[in-house]
Amino acid sequence: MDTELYQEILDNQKDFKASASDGKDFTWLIFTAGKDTFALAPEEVREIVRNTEIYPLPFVPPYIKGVLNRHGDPYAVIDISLFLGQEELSENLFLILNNDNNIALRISEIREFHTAGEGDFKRISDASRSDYFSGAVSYNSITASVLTVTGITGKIRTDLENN
Amino acid sequence: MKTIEWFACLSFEKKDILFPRDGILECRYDEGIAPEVRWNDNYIRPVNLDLILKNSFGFSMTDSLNCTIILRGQNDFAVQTEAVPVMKEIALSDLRPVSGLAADFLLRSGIIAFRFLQDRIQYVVDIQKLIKKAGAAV
Repeated sequence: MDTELYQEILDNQKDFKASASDGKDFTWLIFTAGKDTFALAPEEVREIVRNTEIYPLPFVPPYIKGVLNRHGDPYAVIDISLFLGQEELSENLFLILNNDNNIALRISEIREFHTAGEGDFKRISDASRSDYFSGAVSYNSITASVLTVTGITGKIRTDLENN
Repeated sequence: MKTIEWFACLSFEKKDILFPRDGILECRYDEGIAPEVRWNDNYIRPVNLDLILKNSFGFSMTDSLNCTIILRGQNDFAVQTEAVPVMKEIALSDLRPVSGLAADFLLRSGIIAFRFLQDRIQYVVDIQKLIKKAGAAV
């Protein structure tokens, strides 16, 4: 019985993902960091954390603001605005990313979970491809840049190795 | 398997620096800022640990060095600090080793593990690596 139910849940998940990848609709987490608006796929975010203390880390690049305590585990805090060459953020709002890198992005504000149609997502052409963005999503007449987590973590890894 | 370890704890406001008690050879108090300390018929030039913590972690200090700690290393070395070491027995399972993207970097920098206690953080460190990363000679 349990096995059957488990399989049914798995099948439903596959169907759901297949329909999402058909290009009909896709949901984005829209947020701001300073003056800029960004988007991430919701499955890339494990948790949203507010008003937690950041503790310092030594010798790290300036955009790594320290570590925060998530259920007893340390997560390195990345000021995404400073990382992208913009102004340092002061808000205490963080996206805990859903991967093994134990990092949290410091952001300014969560806007909404926005469901966009296929035509609302514009992929960045190869010629102008950025390591940190895969494309852009139109959202209430604003364009939100879609962040590429692997590109961001790759740059952080390189910076730490060279530091 | 070892499950508990004794650590020396240096406290600075809401932050503690922990290192294994076994590494301590001697603690001397009220020495002031001595340019050299005598140890085993030799003289060791002590490192200002507080200055390193201030510059690398951003800790607030009073700039009054009143404890000299002689530590075991590749060569025995000495650090000076305002903090008085307090010995604490800690279950190793309570500590969180560095992990994730910054793990290798932190280990190279002398940060081994963390422990969060309410509004405090404790850093388990390899003092010799920390000092070397900061560019000071030991």
